[in-house]
Amino acid sequence: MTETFAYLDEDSKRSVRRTILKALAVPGYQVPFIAPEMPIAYGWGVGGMVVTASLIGEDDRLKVTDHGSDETVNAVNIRAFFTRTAFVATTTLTREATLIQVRQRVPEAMLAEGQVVVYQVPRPDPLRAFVSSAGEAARMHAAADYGRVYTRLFEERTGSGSIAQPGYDYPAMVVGRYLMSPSPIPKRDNARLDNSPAIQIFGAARERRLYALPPYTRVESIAFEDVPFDPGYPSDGRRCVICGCTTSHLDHLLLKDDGTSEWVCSDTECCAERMEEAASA
Amino acid sequence: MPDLPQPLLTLDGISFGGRIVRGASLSLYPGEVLCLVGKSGAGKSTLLRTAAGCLPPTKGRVLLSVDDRASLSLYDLPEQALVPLRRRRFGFVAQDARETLDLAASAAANIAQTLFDNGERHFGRALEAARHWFAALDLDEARMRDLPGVFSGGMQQRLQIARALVHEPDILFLDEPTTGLDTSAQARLLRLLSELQRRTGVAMLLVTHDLRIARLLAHRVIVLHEGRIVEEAPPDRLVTDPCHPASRDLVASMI
Repeated sequence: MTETFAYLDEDSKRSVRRTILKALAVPGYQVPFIAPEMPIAYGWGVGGMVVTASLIGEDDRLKVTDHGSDETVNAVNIRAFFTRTAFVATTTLTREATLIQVRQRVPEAMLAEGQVVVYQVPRPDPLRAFVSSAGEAARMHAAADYGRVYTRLFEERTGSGSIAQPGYDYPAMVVGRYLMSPSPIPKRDNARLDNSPAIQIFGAARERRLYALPPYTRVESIAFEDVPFDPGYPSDGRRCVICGCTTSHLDHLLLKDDGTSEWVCSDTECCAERMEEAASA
Repeated sequence: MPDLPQPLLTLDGISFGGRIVRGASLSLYPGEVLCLVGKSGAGKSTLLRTAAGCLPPTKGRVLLSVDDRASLSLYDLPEQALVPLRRRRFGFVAQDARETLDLAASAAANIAQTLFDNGERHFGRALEAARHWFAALDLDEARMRDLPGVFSGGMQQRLQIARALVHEPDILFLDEPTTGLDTSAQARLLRLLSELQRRTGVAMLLVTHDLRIARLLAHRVIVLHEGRIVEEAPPDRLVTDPCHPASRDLVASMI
């Protein structure tokens, strides 16, 4: 079998690229797309891979992260897939990458104009938590009918606890118009979506939806007028056991026998850079 | 009965599904309580839902006054315009509270949701409104965080009314709100409705098959029979001197 460049046939890629253009033209609006099959199961990043496959060119330099790490199984395998099917160069450095596919984190390193960040999205529509019908959710988006989202916030604030907001996938409003799922990134990463110089594209293959943020788009986490958005990240003295950083997003590494925990930077690139800086100092 | 200015809501020749409602016309005036009575299957609930902008008629128009001179034909509006208009100006109380309440959200959130659906984005104001309406409907503030599913039938109905009135609508639609309640809960609910109507001046279109409720609350009663309006009268006159056989049947059933 002869594989085409980046696995997908050119017609499919062209179709996805047209959808991306439409998504960029209406920031935050979920555009239906064909989401062709990829040789991995749904839930492992098919949406992101389809977008990456449609955009990637021979001159691109690809970075792939999963939970901020370049070293997880998902990241390593997606990188290897595109190395094999598109023969592109890869990198773990954000500043060197032209195309960055991520899952569950936004790179902590500064993004730049000309870069494209592709997000893997399991549940693209924040309204589907409230209505089972896709048609009704579409009507609600069309009418900017987002009262129920605020009801959920109200529940969280009044402490009912029955339907509290999670600490990730926290809905954000795009240019004050469309409510968007930022994909399952931590709440605190929402701020990185706002006014980013990079193009950001969100692909959800299972739900056949794609949406995008052009460079320098206003993205605001939803909040009440009198209760500002709380990124909800604890500052309880935890620090990375590798680089000692306390401000980076930390993952729980292990719970020790004495009841204390160890934490490690979620973003391996930034952690490694901090270690290099410390070594050269 | 207050003076009659321009009608707030006008139903003009409403028909639905051939025989369910046939050529019904009526007007509801600001501050008025208008009762639709009739036997089961007379078309009361269908007419109510059509009036409330939830069920497009087969024929006829529903006109909602927007100012002293102009009205809007509800079903000529696109859905994007109809839904917010309905939410802002109407409140709806269903026979079964589970139809309108969100059973997965707390009682307070159920009340606040009406405000959020109407564009409120201020937490403090929404919480204060939930507290106010809890008190107004004789609900225990300590239970604001409970889910409505653990409330009694009477409490669920009162919660539904709080949810329907919190945004101060122009018209409250009630579809047999006392169904399934015991007599003391019915009496309490009707007393509260009467008080609230006097205090807020909200116009009410109320469906019931019980003329006693109509007599207690209504300024005017309309009798529906087999989809047609057959009589219209003040409640006392209807009880003492019913003209149509269907009205006489209803009066007889009071005893």
